[in-house]
Amino acid sequence: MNDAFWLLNARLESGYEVEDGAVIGTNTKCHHLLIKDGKIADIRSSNETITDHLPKRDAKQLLALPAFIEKHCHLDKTLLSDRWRPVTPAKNIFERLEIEKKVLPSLETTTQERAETLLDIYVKFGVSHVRTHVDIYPEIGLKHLEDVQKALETFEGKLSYEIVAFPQHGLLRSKAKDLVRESLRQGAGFVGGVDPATVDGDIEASLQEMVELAVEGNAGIDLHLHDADHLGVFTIKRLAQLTKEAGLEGKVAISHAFALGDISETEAEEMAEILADAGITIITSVPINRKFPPVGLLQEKGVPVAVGCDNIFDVWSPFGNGDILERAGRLAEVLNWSDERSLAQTLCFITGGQTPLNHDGEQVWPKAGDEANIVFVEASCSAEAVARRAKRAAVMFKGEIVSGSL
Amino acid sequence: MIGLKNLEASLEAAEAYKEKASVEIVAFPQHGLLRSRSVSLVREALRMGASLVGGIDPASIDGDIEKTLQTVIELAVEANANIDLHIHDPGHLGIFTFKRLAALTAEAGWQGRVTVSHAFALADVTTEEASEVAELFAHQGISVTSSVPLAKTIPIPLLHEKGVDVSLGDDSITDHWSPFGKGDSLEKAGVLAERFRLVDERSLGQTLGYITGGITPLNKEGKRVWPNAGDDAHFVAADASCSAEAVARRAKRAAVLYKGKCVAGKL
Repeated sequence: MNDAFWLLNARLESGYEVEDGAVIGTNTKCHHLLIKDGKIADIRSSNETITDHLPKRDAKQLLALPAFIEKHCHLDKTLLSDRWRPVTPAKNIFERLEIEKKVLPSLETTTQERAETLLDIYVKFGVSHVRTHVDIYPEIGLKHLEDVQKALETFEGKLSYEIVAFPQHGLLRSKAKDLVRESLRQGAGFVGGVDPATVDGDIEASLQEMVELAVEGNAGIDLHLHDADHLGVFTIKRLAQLTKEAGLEGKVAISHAFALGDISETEAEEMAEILADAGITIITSVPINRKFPPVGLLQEKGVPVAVGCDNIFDVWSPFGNGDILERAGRLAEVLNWSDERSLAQTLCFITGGQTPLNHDGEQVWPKAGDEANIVFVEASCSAEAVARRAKRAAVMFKGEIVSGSL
Repeated sequence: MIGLKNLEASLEAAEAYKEKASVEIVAFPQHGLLRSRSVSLVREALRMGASLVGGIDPASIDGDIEKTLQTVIELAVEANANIDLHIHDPGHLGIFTFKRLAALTAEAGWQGRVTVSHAFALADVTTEEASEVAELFAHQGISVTSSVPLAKTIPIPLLHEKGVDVSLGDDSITDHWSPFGKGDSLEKAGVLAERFRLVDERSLGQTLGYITGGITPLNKEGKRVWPNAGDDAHFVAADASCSAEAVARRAKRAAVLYKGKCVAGKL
């Protein structure tokens, strides 16, 4: 572990300024943080003079925020670092899958290079943890998994990660069960899946197989569910039942879950209760071309919600830049969360729930003992950082500066 | 209360940047042309250098659609100025306002000189109703400016298809109305493309037209139509292989030329 040092003059949020019941500003104070063994070991007011002889670094009054989490990406799909190539039309997901299957092996760059390019962007934008899906299907076997793991090894010490073994062509449809099982042995921690109805054609068998694999491999689940309205809702309800039966509460996530955006508020409330009861997380990429789950309602009902970038310049989409803070800002903009408190609390969707201040304005981060995973931004408060997409001046992972400088 | 103070400041700012960009100024009675009794101030603003008559929600702000629209047109005709109205009024209230505006535009012979900003109502009605208004606007040369609001977006590609001149603007850029907005038109074009799934090479390339006053290097058929000898030397040198890439990937701007002079970056 790295040696202990003092990080002087880090700006921390201390409370909301309230006038007539409205938050009209965020107060901050500078502190000295003792960084030791990758953790924030002590927090002192910057009025105190540090008299010990530990090394010191100056945070120059930059605002400290909890480092970000990218909860949904595909490190093996991005075209970043390769040349521009347009998205060509596809009639349906199956045509798109065939295009991808042909294009990716034909690129001049390697999966590992492209994954490293994206990881580098993530680190610079303040991401300290990524959940990546990795395609698993018969034609490529575990090759993408191996390549992505090599890229992640290159970034050892810069961020942590979790890998979802993703049978992109359908767990049943591409008969990927054995490959997914093998992936879980080789380092993947989650069973992936995609549209049990539309892609696999058998909701029950597809979900059963996912749950079976997860239980057997002591793994979690992260299902891509694009299936719309009642089809998606039916699938979610069944997955929630199976999750509880298998005792997988807290280990299951549904990515996209578009269906939750298609139903009435009353129906969505019912779904939120089911999800909260089964401890299922909803992950959204905040699409602007279709409805997506009612993030605020879900959160109110106790459903964990996270935001991920998903497509970043790949065979599916030409957009996306890997800035998860921009994605949080988009969520706030779409939902019209433009007041100080709402903007500040939006940060929780990209930090695993952490915000410097809680809803009532009490300081809840950082505490002595917290991991020293910190983003230093050029902003006066969280709300400004989210709305204005603040420049990331430096990023710290387990006490080490991994991007920028202080 | 402020009279022409903001206009004076804007004119000064525009003057300071006159070698770098052209600026047109709308005399905008934010508190309502009628509601804040601003007719004579707007008239004075047009004399001082504002080139367009502004206005806002004739129904919900001024309370008298007909009178507001009539007054706007009168001011414009009197000063030989163009018109740019903020119309946020939703649903059929907005649609009715658009239709009256189109009729008055025709009566005054002001075709090609009127813009509706926001035009939110177009997002509230059926495709058939929006198409009807689009045809009306196209016929009267009424253009539409949108900031591509993410919560509710008007059917921009439909308007374009019907022949309406649509352009994009940032509108609020960290102000008292909104904390968002980055002032990057290219980013705005990319958002438009993402919003309407304009993801293929041609659609992305053509999206550029929304932020260039309709100019794209290639036309829809792929024939080069810009630049031509004699065109103004206003251009952006982007770090991209083609327009589609520039729009989708929000290309880095390496240099900007205005009237042949480099005004940002380096070449």
